[in-house]
Amino acid sequence: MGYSLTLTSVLFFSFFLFSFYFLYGTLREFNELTDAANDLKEERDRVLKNTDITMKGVLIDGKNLTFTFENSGYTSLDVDHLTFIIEGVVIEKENLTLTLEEDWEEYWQVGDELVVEAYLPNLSLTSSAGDTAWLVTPPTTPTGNITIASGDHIYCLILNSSSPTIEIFNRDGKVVGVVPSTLLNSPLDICVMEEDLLVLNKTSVDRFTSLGYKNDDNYIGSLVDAELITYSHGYVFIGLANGSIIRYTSDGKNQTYLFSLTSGSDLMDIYAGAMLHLFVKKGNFYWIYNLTLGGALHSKMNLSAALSATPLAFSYFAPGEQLVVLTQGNNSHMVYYLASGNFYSLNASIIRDPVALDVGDGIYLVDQGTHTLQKLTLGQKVKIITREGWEGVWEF
Amino acid sequence: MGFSLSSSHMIFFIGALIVASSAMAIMVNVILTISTNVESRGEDLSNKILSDITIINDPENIPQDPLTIYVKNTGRVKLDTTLDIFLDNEYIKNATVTQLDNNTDLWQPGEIVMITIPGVSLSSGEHTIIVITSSGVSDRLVFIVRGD
Repeated sequence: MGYSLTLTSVLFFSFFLFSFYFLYGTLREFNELTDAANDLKEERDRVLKNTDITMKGVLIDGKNLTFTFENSGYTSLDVDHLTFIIEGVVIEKENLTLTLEEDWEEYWQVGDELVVEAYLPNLSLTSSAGDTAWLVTPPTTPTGNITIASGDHIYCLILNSSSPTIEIFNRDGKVVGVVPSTLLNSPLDICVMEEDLLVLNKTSVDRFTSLGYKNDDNYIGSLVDAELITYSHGYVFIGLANGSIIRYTSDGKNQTYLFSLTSGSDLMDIYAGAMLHLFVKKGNFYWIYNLTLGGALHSKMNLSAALSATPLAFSYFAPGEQLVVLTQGNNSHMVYYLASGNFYSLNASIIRDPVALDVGDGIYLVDQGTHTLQKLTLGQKVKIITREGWEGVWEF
Repeated sequence: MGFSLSSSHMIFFIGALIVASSAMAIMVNVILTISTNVESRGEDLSNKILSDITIINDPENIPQDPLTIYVKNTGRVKLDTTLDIFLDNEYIKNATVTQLDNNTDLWQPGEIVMITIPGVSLSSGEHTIIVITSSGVSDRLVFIVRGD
C-alpha cells in the first residue's frame, strides 16, 4: 500500500515538475517575444523622434521635377521605403530616381543630400504661371542694392545710404536676427561659408556667426577695391572692381590670382558651386563665364542672345548647376532657368522691382519696389513619408 | 494470507498507476492546450505591437473620383490586405485595395496600398476616414474637401 502511494506520489511529483518546467518555458518564450516586439517598437519610436528632413532645392523641367533634400535629423533613413506624394498623388517607384550623395551607402546618412528626380506624366506642372509667397517686409526702406545669400538661414544685405544692416530670416520668412550697422563697415556683398556669414567690405572681409554675431574682424584683410564674394569647396572667391578674381583658402590666408577680365568687361556678379560662374557685361551684351575652381576658362554663354530680356541677376540650382536668371523687361520681370539645354520661364511680373535672387527650396527674390523679400513658387506641395511613418510637407 | 496481501498490494498498485496515468493524460492535455494558447497569444501580441499603418494622404488634397486613400505599412511585420474602411462613420463595402509596390499576397513593411472608393461624392468640409486591418490596428485621417 505504502509502496503504491509512494510510487504514485513520485509520479505526480515528476509530472508537476515537468508541467512547471514546460509552462515556465512557454511563459519565458512569451515574455521574450513581447520584449523583443517592445524593443523593436521603442527603436521605431526613437527613429521617428530623431528623423528630420530639409528641402534644399527644387527645379521644374516640364514634367520632370528635381528635388534636393538633406537628412537634417539624427538617424540614417531607409531610402528604399521613402514615399513621395506630389499634389496628393503617390509617385510610383518607376517614375522616381533617387541618388544619394554617397552612392555606395545603403542608407541615407545624417547630413547627406538626396537628389530625387520625379517624372510626372499626368501632372501639368508647366512653369507658365508663378505664385508668390510673401515672406516679410523689411522694416527699413532700402535705397541701394540688396543682396541675399541663402543657407539654412536667408541673409538679406540692406544697403541704406546711412545705415546698412543685414537681416537674417528663417525659412518661414521670420526675422531671427539682425546685424546692426554698428558692427558693419561699409558692406558690399555677403556669402555663406559653412556655418558662417562672410561680409565683404571694400578692403577686407569680416566673419559673423550664422545668427549675426561678430566672429572675426578682418578675417581677410588688405584687399584693393573688392566688390563681390562667394564661397565653395573650401575656397573664398573675391571679385575686384578691375575684373580680377582672387581665391583664398577657407582660413583666409593663402591667396591666388585666378582670372582677369579683358578691358571693357564689367564683372556684375559671381557664384561658386562645382565651378566658378561669372556674370559679365561686355558692351551691350551679358555673358556667363564658367571657370574651373582653379581659374581655367571652361565655357562661355551669351545670355543676351539666349534671352530676349535684360538679365539682372543670376544664381544656380545646385544639382547639375542649372542656371537661373532674373530678367527685367517693361513691367514684366521673368525668372528663367536652364534645364535640359532649354530655358524655361517663371512669370515674376507681380514683383515690381526685383534686384536680386537666390535659389533654394524656391526662388527667393528681393523686390526694391515693395521693399520685400519674396519666394516665388508654383504653389505645389511635396510630401515625404519615411518607412517608420515620419511625414514632412514642403511647398514649391 | 500472504498471497492476498500481495494481491491487494498489486491491485492498489495497478489502481494507483491507472489513476495517476489518467490524471496525467488529462493534465498533459490541459497543459499543452494552455501553453499552445499562451504561445499563440504571445505571437498575436507581438504582431500587434509590431503592426502599424499610416494614412499618408495630404489631408488638403485627397484625389477624388474615385476617392483614393493611400495607406503605408509603417510597422515591422507583413500584413494582409483585408481592410475595413469607414468613411464618416459609415462602413464602406465597395472599396478596392491595390498594392502599389508589388503583387504578393502580403503587404510588406514600408509598402503602400491604394484604396479606391468609387461612387462617393463628398460635400465640401471636413470628413473622416478610418482604416482597420484584420489584426485590429487602425489609423484615422480627418481631411478637407474644398468647394469649387
